[in-house]
Amino acid sequence: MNESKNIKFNKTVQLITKMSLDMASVVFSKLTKTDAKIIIDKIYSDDISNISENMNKNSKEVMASLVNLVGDTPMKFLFMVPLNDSLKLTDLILEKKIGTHNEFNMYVESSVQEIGNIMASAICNVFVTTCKIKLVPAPPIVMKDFSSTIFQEYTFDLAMEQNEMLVVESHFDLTNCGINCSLFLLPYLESNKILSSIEGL
Amino acid sequence: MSKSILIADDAPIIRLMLKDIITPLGYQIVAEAANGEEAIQKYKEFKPDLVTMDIIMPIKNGIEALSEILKLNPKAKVLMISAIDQKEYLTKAIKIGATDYIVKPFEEAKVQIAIKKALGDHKL
Repeated sequence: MNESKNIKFNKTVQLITKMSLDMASVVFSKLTKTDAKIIIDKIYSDDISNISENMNKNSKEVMASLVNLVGDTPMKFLFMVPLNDSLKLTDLILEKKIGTHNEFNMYVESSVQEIGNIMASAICNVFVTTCKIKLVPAPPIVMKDFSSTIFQEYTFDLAMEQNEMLVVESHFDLTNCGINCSLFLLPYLESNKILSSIEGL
Repeated sequence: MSKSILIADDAPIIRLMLKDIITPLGYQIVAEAANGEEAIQKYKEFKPDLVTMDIIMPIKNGIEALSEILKLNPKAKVLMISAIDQKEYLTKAIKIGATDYIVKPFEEAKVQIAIKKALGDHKL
C-alpha cells in the first residue's frame, strides 16, 4: 500500500479502511462466488484537479455504482467495472457460464447496482461496529459512461466544499476470471477528522 | 391454492434470484415492487401471505414500508432481506414486527428455511 507524502489518514482510519475493504472482499466473493480480494493500491490526499487529471489519462468506458454513505461520517463510494467485464459479473452472480450474457440489459445494470449496495453496506457495517458511529448507504445510482466523466460528476459536490480530496484507491483480484474492477472510497475531510479522533480500537 | 409472496427490492437481479429460490418451493410470486411505496400499493392490491422486503430502496425505505404494511394488517408477515447488518436496524425491524431478518448476500437454503418458517411450513 502506498501512502502519499501529503497523507492525512492516521493509523486508526487506515485500520478501519482496511477492515471495511476486507469485509467488502468477503461479501463480493460470496455474491460472485469467486475468490476475490480487494487490494488497496493507494490511500492519499491531493488536489481535486490533480486527481481528475489522472483520471482523464486512463479513462475508459465503464459501468459504475455510485453510493452516498450517509450518517456521522459521510463518504462517497464508487465501484467501477469495464463494460465487458460487467457482463461477466452478471454471469457469476446468476451462476451462469461466463459468456451467457452478451448484451446490456437491466440485469447487467442491476448486478453492478447490487454489488455497489452490498459492498457499500459492508463498509458501513464495519464502521458502525468498530467506531460506534451511524453510517448507512443511500440507494445506489448506476451510470454507464467514461470513468473520468463519472468520477468528475460524482465528486462535484465534494469539489464545491473542499479543494483537496482523500482517496482510497483499490482494485480487485479475481482468480481466473479476468475481470478488472476498481473501488474508490472518498471520505469528506470533515469525516476524516471525526474518524481520526476516535481512539481505542 | 399455493401461498402468495410479494418481492420488494430495487434491484431486478435480486428479485430474479429470489424468484428462482422461492418458486421451487411451490409458492406463487404474485407481485414485485421496486421501492417501499410500490410495496405498500402492491400489498393492498394482492394481499400476499408473505412479503420479502429490502431496506435501502428509493422513494420509501423498507422499514417505513414494513411499518405501513403492519398498520394495514397487523398480522402481515414481512421477511426483511438487506445488506445492512447493523444491530440498530435489526432490532428496529423486529420491534416493528418483521418476521425475520436475512443479511445479503444470502444463501439459498437460508432464504428457503426463513420463508417456510414464516409461512408455517417448516418442520424441524
